[in-house]
Amino acid sequence: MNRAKYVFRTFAGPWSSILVLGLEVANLVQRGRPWRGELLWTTDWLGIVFFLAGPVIAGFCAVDASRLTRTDVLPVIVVTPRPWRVYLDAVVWTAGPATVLHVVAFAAALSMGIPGIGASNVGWLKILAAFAVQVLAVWWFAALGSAIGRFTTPIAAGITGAGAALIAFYLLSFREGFAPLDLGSATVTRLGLTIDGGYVSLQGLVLAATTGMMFLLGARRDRRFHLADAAVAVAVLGVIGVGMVAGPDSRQVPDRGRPPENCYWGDPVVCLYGEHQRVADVTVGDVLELAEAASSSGYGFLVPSAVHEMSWSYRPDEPEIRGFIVSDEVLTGGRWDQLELVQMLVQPSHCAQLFEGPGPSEEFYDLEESLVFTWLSLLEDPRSAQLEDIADELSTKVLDPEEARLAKTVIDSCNY
Amino acid sequence: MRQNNILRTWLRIHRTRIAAAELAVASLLSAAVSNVGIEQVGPLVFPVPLLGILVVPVLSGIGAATASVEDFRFPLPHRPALSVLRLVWCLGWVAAAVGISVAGMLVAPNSAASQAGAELAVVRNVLVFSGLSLLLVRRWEGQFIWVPAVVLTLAASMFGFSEARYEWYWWATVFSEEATGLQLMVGIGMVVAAAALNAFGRRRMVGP
Repeated sequence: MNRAKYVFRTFAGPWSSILVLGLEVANLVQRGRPWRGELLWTTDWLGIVFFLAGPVIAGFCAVDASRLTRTDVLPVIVVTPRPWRVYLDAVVWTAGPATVLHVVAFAAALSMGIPGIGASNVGWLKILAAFAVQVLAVWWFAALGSAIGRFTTPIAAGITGAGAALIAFYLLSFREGFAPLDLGSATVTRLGLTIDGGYVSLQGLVLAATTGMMFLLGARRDRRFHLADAAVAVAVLGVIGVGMVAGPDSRQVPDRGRPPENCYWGDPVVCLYGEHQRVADVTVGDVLELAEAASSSGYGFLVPSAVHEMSWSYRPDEPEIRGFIVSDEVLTGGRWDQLELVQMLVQPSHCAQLFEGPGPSEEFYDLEESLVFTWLSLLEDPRSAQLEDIADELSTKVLDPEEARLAKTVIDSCNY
Repeated sequence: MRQNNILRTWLRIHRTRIAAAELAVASLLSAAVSNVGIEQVGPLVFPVPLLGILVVPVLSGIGAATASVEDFRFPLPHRPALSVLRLVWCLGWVAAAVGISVAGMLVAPNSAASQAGAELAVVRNVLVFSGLSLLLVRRWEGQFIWVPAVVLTLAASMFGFSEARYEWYWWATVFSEEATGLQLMVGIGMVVAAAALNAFGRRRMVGP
């Protein structure tokens, strides 16, 4: 307890935890938490917090290290036999609390995903590796800030450290090929993807090695830049450079492509992934509502026999099964937009040209559009935010049952 | 000779050199990014490209505030007239920061941003970031003046955009490309209030 008191009085870094806490909470509660239940998406969503927390941690560590090397007062470094231990203290008491906060945030996010989270097939080991990389990044940013602070005057150290962290993040987190600071980020579902174990292992190696090396930079009693520091700095850039050239290309790769496993037996059969169990009720209800509207007006042939949730690695392969992707509104707790849902029920997701190549012809879109608006016209009051924006002549393009049957045959054939 | 000494002392007891260096970097940056629209930083994709010149004022504002950080470890003699001088000094640096940020942006050739009329937005941002940074110049030897401006910018870039209304929230207005008269007035108010607080606020005093 006395130690903590000493540390909080001597260093600024531990106080940065207050900011980190605020950022973690903000990241967890914003945008309706659509990631709940998906193991990989949850991990990725948490990774984005380091865009904010990284520069803050680096800035505070830079100020602390810089205060330790100041020349205008007698610094504690001068009177200790092993000066690097004081630098280490400052870093540990900044990155340590931030690590604890991140672990707590991860635990909270996972518990918000119960029960869907148990259905994941990504593999806990890979997720833990990806999460360990995020934790390593905390220490990496702290070491970066500390190293910069040792050569800077305290008043400029904070902005220099934070700026350097931001530039590092910009250069190393999002690029073609291997990115050591790619800690994950996703605003759409990650179902059907898995972590590349080799990629995150290499990330871990690069980050751990460079953290250690940056920590050695100038860990002594003065603020001068020695030749040895230049050698270490070059070595840090070298390790990162080798990683970026030799590392694998993508952090996430498609998995083996499993179909959704939770099926609800109605007309049609609706199947969702276990991760999205919490939206099953609203999805099944909204699909059945559309199916009934079609059947009761003589358009029953439009209703497929089954509807499957799609993922990055799975889509249905026959016309009788349609595919859908759960929209953000539904994942954040809303109802389906009926225009969107009808589009998914009409769209022949077994046709490859919808997903690759130049895409289907004009004719396809005309037919698809007519079918969608025909189906929507069977509803008394379609629930859709997009209908207002669509011109009237489009929404009055209604086919009679015979025309509709013909149109469906054409688009199901995949010949366009 | 005597006046020369006073001037030199004044420059010495403030962080003048570092402030000047930061403003110099800021002016170079604002020229360099005058027609850069930032579409993406790391994993973060901006809904509308963010003008680079709106971010440079973070540094200009911190630089302007740095000049008001006093660099001595024991109380100096104090006269009421010095408070007025401190206020003038402080406001002068903010004015200089506004000047170099706008100038840097205008001297760059083919500046798309300046054609869009973002000059006032740059002025607003320098004012806002200076005002925020000035809040902390008398705390902790001025070592944390960078925190409010940096945290606001980071938070705004991640949480500041309202998808529903398709515009930046009021607290993230430093990212909007057009400044209103009200925003400029608020910015001026922030700077003047913070500067006055620093200049006239209670300080440790020695002497008669």
